[in-house]
Parts: sequence; C-alpha cells; structure tokens
Amino acid sequence: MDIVSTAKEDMLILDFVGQLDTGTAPRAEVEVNKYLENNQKIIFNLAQTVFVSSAGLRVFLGTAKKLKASGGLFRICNANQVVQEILDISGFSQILDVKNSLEEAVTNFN
Amino acid sequence: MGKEANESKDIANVIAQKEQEITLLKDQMVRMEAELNLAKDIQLNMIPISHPDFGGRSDVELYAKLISAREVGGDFYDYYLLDDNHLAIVVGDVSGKGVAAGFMMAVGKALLKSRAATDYSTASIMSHVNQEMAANNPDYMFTTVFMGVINLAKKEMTYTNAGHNPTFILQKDGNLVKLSTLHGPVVAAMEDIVYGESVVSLSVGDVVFAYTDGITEAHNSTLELFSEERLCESLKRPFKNVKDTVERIVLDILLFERGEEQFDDITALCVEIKE
Repeated sequence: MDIVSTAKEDMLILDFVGQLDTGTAPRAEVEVNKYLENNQKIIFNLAQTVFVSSAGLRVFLGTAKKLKASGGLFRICNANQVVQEILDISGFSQILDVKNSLEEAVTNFN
Repeated sequence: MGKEANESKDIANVIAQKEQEITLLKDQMVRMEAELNLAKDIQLNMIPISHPDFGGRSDVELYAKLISAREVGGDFYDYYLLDDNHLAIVVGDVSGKGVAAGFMMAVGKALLKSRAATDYSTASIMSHVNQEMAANNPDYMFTTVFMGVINLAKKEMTYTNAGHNPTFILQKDGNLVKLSTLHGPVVAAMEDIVYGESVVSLSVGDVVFAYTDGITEAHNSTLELFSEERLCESLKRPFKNVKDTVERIVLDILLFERGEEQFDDITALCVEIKE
C-alpha cells in the first residue's frame, strides 16, 4: 500500500494504491495523521484501491472524526465496485461524504 | 596496545547493548503473545455453547460455531430466550484485533443483552446500544451487528442489520431468501443514529442462517474468495439439521482454502423453526 499526495488549491488529495487491510492500515493511519497536522480539506481517492477491510474503514472513520473535531472537511471518492459494496453494507456511505469521482469530490468542497 | 584495548572494549559494549536490546525485544514478544492469548480467551469464554437444548424445548433448534483466526479477530455470537416465546440471536464482528477488540465485543454483547431484557424491538435496542458505545469511543472502533428476535409462537422474526452481512433464510421448500435490507451503519461509529427493523414471517421447517464475512472472504492461494455465491450453493443442498448445515459449510471453506492460513474469524449461527 502506497499513499500518494497531491495538493490542489486548498485541498489535499491522497491516493491509496493497493489494499487497505489489517496488514497495511496501521501504517496508513500513521501517514494520514501526518497530513492532518497541516491540512483541513482532505480527499481520499480510491481509484487505485483494490480492497478495504474493516481495519481500513477504521482509518476512514478516524480521519473523518479528527477533521470534524478540528473544523475540517473529508471526502472519499472513486471506490471500485467491491469497495463501494463494503462502504454500502457497513453503512459508511451513509455516515461519510462519498462521491463517485474525483471531479465531484473537488467540486463545492466547503 | 591502548587503542586496541579501547576498540575491543567498544565492541564489548556494543555486544552488551545489542544483547540487552534482544532481551527487551524477546520480553516484548512474550508480552504480545500473552496479550493475544488473553484476547483469544476473552473471545472464546464469552460465547455461549454451540448446541443448546433450551430446557428441552422441541420447537426450535440452534447450532453456532466460531473458529478463531490465529491473530484474534473480533467475531462474536450470542443467543438467549427473552421469555417463553422470544428467542434473540446476535452475530457481530468488531473492527480491529487483540485485547481492545475483545473488550469492545464484551461491552457490545452485554449492552445488547441488557437492553433486550425489557425491549423486544431490535431497532430500539440497536439505537440505544449505538448511542452508548459511540459516546465514548476514542479509538474509532466499531462493530457490525445482526440481531434478530424470533417470536416462536407467532413464527416471525424482527431483525435489524447494522452494517453486517445479510442473513439468509432457507425455506422448507428449498428456496433461499436473502434478508438484504440494511437498517443503519455499523454500531459505535457515529452517535445519534436511528436504526430501523424489518419483520419476516417464518414457517415450521424454515432455517435462519447468520454469519460473518470471514466465510465469504475466506480465500485460497490464488486469492479467490469463497464468496456469497459459494455460500449460497452450500446452503442450497438438502437440509438435514442445523449442526450439519454449519459443519458442512465450515468443511466447504476448509476444502476451498486448501491449507491457506485462515486470516479472519469465521462465525455461523443457524436456527431451525420446528413443530
């Protein structure tokens, strides 16, 4: 699992490449936390994310809650069919701001 | 000579330091191993027996099985009679592993049972338990929960699915019905969630099958998943009894994995409605 960061205006886009599961989630969490220090608008782009387990969902939830607590904003986009199904069954698509594409995610993000 | 003596003293120091580090790491490993064992104990001591006889009653039979992965996941199941006519069943999967997951499991299981003692609405039970658990959750943990309250006299089940895999009903005529409705997100993730519930009619001979994603996400060496499709195939075979259904599916998974290590806990709970 690699995380690639791209700054766009006042937003930070993090691309998760690979699997976000029990093995990779702890390191992903540490990396994401570093970005949280200096960024208030974060988008997780899952275009290259093959699979997300419950350990991965925990990273999403933690990020959303930390940003909410500091007055920041969080979106997820580009989930593949498998990941979207996981987001839907777990109900995360109800409690998090999930968009279909990166274009949608960067639009009116405030 | 002086220089050489100093060098060998330095080397001795480095060796001593490394030995100390190794001892520390070994101690740490022993502690971690102990923690994992403790987590496994918490998990296995918490689940009720596989095949209860419910005081000899003949109108219902239940069989459940939890196979713990090497590194403990957070599966749990539970069942209890709320009164003469109502049987509650619960299957859940806590995010994360280890002692933290074990504690969350214990708390969730206890809260569900305690609320169900006076409240037979699974929607209301889930909403209350979620509120309680989400209020104090600094580690962002959560648990999926399927809870059903089966009215054994009226032959119907009220159920709430909180972010969990859909439960199946194998009807006596061989039809397999998937309870696809989701009633809200996983428990403990967010406060102020109002969960819904559904009611499904049951007939004598119908079988309720609840399980965790350790079954559908079990995989073989080529990373192919056991999948819901294979689970349905297994469930569609002629029904003998609840124990046979669960054990046969466990065997199907083992044969599918062909020696691959089991990564996640596997849980199945099966209830047959009888005369």
